[in-house]
Amino acid sequence: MSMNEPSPDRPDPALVAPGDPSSSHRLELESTPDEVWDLLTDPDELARWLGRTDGFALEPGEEGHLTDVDGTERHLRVDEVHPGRSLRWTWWPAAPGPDDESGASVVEVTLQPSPGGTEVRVVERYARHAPIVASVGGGLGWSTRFVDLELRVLASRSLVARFAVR
Amino acid sequence: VTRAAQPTPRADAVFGALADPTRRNLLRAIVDQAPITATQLAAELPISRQAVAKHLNVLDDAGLVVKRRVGRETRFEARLDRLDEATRWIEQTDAAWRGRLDRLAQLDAERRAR
Repeated sequence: MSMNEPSPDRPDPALVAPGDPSSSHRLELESTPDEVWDLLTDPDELARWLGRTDGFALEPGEEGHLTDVDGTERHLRVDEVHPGRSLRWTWWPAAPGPDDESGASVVEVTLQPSPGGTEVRVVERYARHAPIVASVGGGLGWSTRFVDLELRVLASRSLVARFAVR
Repeated sequence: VTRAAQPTPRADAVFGALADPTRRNLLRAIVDQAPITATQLAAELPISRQAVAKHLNVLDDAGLVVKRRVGRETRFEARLDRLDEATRWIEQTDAAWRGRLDRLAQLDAERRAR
């Protein structure tokens, strides 16, 4: 599968490190992976669970506009497509424009056969831009612990601290 | 038009600052012992005073610490309210995916019922 060449103003999915904030989900469905794949990718079905596209093809390197079911407008670039197995894309808010990829995140949807049918796994990771990754991560190594966990722990301490001073 | 959950430049800096385990340790030490000086932090952690200063600068740029001059000393305190913007991205993204996967499960059930 092809991947776009990284550039200074474009987040590279390969640069999304294990320490970056993420949102992970899992769902069990009774259908086969091929049936679930059709649900995931058929344009009419896609419009009902994810959002309506402006017609771009689900092929690596293709990009276009997506209006989420809740009305959120995003620009989306397809990174990898493995029919029946996995799909990965990068998306970012449509405003101010498709060339401004600040706030981009990378989504990976994986299908695995399970005893009951199919296990759907979704991971969305916040993608910092390459120059930022280079400046904060260069030579320091990344933690295998998720930063979001740390954020939650620190945020709970923050709450304790706020209550303590009142 | 709804705006997508989008980290602000500040949240981006927070994510970057906390991506490094040394800085997370440093911030934890500041939360627990503030106000604290860079020299005191260096005595607590297995890194040099220079390294502490470098990491404190990153935390300062992200708005996660504040410096206060007390006599000849510079003391550091944590500003954990800066984490709110960063945690908001995670909470909004979690909620959006719960909705999407609920809709996907509903579509699957509809198709199986046909």
